[in-house]
Amino acid sequence: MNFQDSAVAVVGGGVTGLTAAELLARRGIAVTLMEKSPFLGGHAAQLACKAIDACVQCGACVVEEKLRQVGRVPGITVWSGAHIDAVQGTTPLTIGYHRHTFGVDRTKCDGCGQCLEHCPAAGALVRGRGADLMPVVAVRRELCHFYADESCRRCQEACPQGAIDLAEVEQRGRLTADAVLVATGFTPFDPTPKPYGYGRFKNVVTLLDLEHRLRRQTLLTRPSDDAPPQRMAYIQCVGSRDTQLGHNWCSQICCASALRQARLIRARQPQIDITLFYIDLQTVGQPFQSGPDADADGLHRVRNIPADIIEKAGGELAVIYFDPRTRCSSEDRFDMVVLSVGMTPAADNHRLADHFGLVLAESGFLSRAPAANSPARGIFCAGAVQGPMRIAESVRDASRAAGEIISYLSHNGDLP
Amino acid sequence: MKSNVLIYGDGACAHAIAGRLSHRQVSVCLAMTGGAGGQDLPAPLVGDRPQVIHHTRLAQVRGTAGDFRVRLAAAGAMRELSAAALVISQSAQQQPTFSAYGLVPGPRVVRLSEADQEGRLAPNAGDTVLLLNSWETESHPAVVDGLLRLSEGLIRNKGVRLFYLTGNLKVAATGLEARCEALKAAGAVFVKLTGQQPSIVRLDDGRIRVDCTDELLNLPLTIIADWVVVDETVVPNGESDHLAPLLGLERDAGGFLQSGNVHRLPHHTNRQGIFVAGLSRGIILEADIETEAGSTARAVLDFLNTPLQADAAAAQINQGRCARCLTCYRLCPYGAVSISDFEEGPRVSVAAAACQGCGICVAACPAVAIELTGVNGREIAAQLAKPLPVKTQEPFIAAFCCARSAEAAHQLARTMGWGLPTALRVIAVPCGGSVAVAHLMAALEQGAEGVLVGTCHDGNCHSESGNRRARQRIAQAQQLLTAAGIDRRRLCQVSLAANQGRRFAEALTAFQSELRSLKA
Repeated sequence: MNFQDSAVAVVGGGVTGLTAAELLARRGIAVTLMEKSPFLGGHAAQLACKAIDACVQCGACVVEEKLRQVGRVPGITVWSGAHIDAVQGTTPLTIGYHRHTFGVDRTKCDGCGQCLEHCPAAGALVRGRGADLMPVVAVRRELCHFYADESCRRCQEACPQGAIDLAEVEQRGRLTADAVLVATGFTPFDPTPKPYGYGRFKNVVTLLDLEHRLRRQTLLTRPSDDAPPQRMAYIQCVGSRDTQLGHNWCSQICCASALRQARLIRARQPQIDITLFYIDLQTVGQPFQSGPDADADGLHRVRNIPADIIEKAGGELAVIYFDPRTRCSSEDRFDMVVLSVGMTPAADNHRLADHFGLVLAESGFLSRAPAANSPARGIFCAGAVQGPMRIAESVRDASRAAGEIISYLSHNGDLP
Repeated sequence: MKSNVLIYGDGACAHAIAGRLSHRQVSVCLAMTGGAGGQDLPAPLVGDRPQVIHHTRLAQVRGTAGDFRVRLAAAGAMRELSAAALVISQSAQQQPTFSAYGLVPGPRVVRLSEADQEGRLAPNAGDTVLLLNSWETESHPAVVDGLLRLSEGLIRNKGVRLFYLTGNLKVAATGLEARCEALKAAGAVFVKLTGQQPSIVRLDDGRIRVDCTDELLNLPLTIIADWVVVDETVVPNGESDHLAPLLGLERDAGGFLQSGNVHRLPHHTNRQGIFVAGLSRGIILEADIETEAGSTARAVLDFLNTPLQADAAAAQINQGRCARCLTCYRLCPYGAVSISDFEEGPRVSVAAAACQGCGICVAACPAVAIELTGVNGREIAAQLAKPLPVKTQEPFIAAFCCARSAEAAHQLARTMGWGLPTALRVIAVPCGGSVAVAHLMAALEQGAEGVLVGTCHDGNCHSESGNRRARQRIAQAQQLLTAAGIDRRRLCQVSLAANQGRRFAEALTAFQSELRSLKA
């Protein structure tokens, strides 16, 4: 078998899946890139650039570049809204799937956004990016009035391209693949159960929420009243390094992300006072050589994870923590608190493990090697589905996995 | 002697790459500075065993991607070979940190990499072993990984009492946090130090006494250690000082042979066909060596299987016009310009296989002798001359935008409907560094009231220096404007990332207001 006649299914359109898809397609392999959400890019594509004057190596632009390349390289078929129902056979594998189009025909949508202006349900229409980087629109069924009671078709009527068809039918089918790469990534920790009032207190946001905000706003404002915050706090390790939750891992990205964000915010709005609550600072490399207690960036650092947040009048937040310097319980007031939520295993990892004969680790992440007794062959794993990973390591792991897939296909299925 | 790929390096990563490439029937030469000791090469299942040269040093590398000519110095003789690609994967150097803890090495005070050596660290059951990590200095998960491995062995096999004193525990790598928890469960005591410097005293019997505060219990803690292991810092192998100038490679701030530029990830360098891996490009964990090697082998195979760039896509030097000033040779960030000896004198040419088409040479050439599709004056003039889609009284702005960053941000702003000046002409260029002073002046001559150059952020330019060159050219053009009595603010530079559509819109709107105020 010539590997260039092969077909590979890449499951997951985040930075790992995009990188692998491009590397495989460049070698002439037909790739089907299956993504369950409407848009490619995953979590990494939602990050804001945090350069001040110089690049701070956050990697947000790397994903942007991968998206562009995936749009350019021939041989990649992108399926958004794709879900795997069943997997049969060994070589090749037959993947039963269903997919839906989020109410929008991508070949017609030009991303003009007129539908957004007519939609009465907040958040029901979202604009993101397709394979060619152009914005496309998607309908979120859980928020859209049409899918509740068919009471509203305003977007469909407003679309000048005739691209919206809310009554679209789900498509089911089977896909044959000589190899599969599972690159479904992670789920950000949901901090709702933590005593920080996330979801109830408007001015408590996550790191990822703030990344979205920084993409839209050059000057940051707080959610409750759109006023610039005066005092902000970052709480690290929310959902990571937490024995009570059984999360005995460091999420690896949050310390560096929080520091990059805080430095950017202070560079643009130096009047904002920022405190960082942390366990250990997990930054590595040159941009962070200042050492854990250096105050060069003007941040206050407190080595303790707060126990509680109480909302006061006007959306102000009282943060209760144990101050290691005074060895006393302390309370500080902030008008915005950012929770550095960690990476957790996706809820459907066990289904992927079942489908593909992979091993679900105790942590809930997937192990790289397939189960010893699994008859399935040609199944590979890459990226943060195996556990927390930075963008740089995800790119490397995708490169490793693409190499293994090419090697597997060119040896008639024999692995070295 | 002919080899397709030369791997220069000692250590596990270089070996693993050699094994993988041989397995894929690539002819590999593994050149090592050290001797035959250490790891055995994995026997490849298919293909030839890699050729191995010991005790050798890279003396010279000429040529470009696909055709490197390498001289290796070994035992007083020179060997020559040719290679399509080079992989640099050296080992790193561990530096001891005794002085950071006020200690000197001794029979009971050992550094991490020596603790494994026979007889160096020989505790009896019940002895107290103290590990010191990152009190004041920054550590790294790879160092913590080594300390944990040592701790695991000591607790499992020796039955020691183990204390791990750390200022900042770096667990940002797979499994480290879980291993710390397992060690704690097995009886190891982890003590965190925040802003306190414990006192360390060497007792008469050679043992070490440490006094500090246990922050969890808020109680004074005294440890009398029979053995002390201090951590290490990992720095590039001394060979990288030799290799960086020899190969014309950028380095990162720590001295590793891959610049911090994210566009070089995972194994690329500023030179086509030269790859860096393992401890040559940064600190990696032992557990990641297989991933690193697999990824590097994939990148090399990809390179070997991709046809080299055709001449037409690269910058070309008009030999009739070339004054042999060597400006292009100096400025090319990719080492793509070569000088060959001709009878009539040196001939300067661009190797298409190495050229990335950034156009920095085009903009810098004093003789205007270099051509590159997309960045010549005629094409730019034609773009500027096209009428704007709407008639407007607004000041006309010409914006030269790097296709990788500012132009993508422009497209994003346009499609998201974020307000842009109506009198705007965006000219996509391969790199901010390809915009010549002549292009800036031509835009003004053709009616632009302001000219903006949109580049990548510093440290993010694919051609490394393109944004700095753009700033220099703007400064030069501003001097010309000042001399002509024109306000210098009509020229400006903005750094943008591809996803900063909002900032693109804001920067253009701000520039438009400035131009309006100049008009008034």
